[in-house]
Amino acid sequence: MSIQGFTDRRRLPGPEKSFPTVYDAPEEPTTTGNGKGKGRADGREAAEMRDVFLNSGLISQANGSAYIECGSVKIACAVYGPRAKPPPYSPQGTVNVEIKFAPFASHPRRAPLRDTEPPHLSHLLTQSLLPALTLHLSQHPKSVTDIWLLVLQSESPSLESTLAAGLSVACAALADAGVALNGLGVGVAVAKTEEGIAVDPTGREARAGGARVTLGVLPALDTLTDVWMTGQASVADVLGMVDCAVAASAGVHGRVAGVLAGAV
Amino acid sequence: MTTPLLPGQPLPAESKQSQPGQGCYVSKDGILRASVVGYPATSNGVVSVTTGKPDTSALPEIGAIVTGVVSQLTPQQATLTMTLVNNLPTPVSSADFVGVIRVSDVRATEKDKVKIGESFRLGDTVKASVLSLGDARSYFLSTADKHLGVIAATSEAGNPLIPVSWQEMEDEVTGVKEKRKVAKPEV
Repeated sequence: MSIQGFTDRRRLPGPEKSFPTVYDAPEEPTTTGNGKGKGRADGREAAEMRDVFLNSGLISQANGSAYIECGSVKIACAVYGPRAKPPPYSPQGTVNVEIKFAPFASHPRRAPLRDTEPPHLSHLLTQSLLPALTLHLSQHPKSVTDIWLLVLQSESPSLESTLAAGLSVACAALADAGVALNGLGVGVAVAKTEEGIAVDPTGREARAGGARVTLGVLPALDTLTDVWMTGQASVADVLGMVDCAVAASAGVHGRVAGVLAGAV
Repeated sequence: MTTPLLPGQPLPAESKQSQPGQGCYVSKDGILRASVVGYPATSNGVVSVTTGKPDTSALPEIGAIVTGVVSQLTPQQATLTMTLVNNLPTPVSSADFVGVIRVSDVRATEKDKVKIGESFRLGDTVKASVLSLGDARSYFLSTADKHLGVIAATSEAGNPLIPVSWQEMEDEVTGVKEKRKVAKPEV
């Protein structure tokens, strides 16, 4: 009879000694830019985006899937359906967008289920996706299409880059699933900092900045799907930020298009 | 091989005169654009954009021929769980595609004399056409055609039934006849 006789056998006995985990300080990459721009902490030009890595078709069980890395934001997206929709009746198709954060997606770690950020973000993403999906939804009455996003790393508490990358990756996954899209939607975040307008701000830039604008753009149709703005700025500033974001969207669109064209 | 078209991309000039088919649409500015990733192909004046990959599943739509198994019978209607739509499987999901054949949609003639119990039995495999999107729960189906109705069934004794007329099937082993709305067998 060892000590086991006296302990609760339903619990996993931990080691006798334990120490609190030590995390590295949350560090943002400093070497992504070409070094020419002096205005920004990571050496980028004001209108320069961080490199975007995109891949499609990585989740074999899903009808379509994609994975994006944009700076330190990493999101995997899977699209299921369209499938039968439980009641109530809907003459149009419905779309079910769900964003989940991995427990290690932000610093400090997230408590599962008690998270209040994902529903808000899912709602924002649905809004910016819907204009690209009108064609699909009108063709598939009484059906539901599920779009699941798993955020592996984010710049929480600033959600702009997560939303922007989420829109791009969701559209790539939808296109991979063969869902009819009016156009490929891409997201771009812009922040107004003391130095001027910074495209694709890092978490630190976004938090330091006065106002942030996140755009959903359909570059092929020259249309905006959604504008999400936080903070305070003059009308002229906001229009300038929107112009900057639209100009930057062409680059992301090109990247998404290249990946999808290569996957056929 | 040329680069494929992407969603939102205008179709090449030679297919501008064609009608939009699968995988393309006319946007608000009147331009014919692709809606999926793929290559354009024109046939009979209809241009469609396809990847060349065959469809793996299909959703029920009006006029489609569906195959399903009878899951519930009432004197008013037979309920089907649809498994095939135009010979493609329905998407895998926790929610089934449910169809209902109402007593008035079982056959085209003498509708007032139709009895659901003499047309279908639980577990029968039935071929039907989609009449309408139906209500919240189910699609409305019809078997009012020669080639629609029960295509496979088992007798009360548990043996396979073979069709002998458009409203009777016979037990292969015992020779007992049972009433069904039988589909004309495909030759």
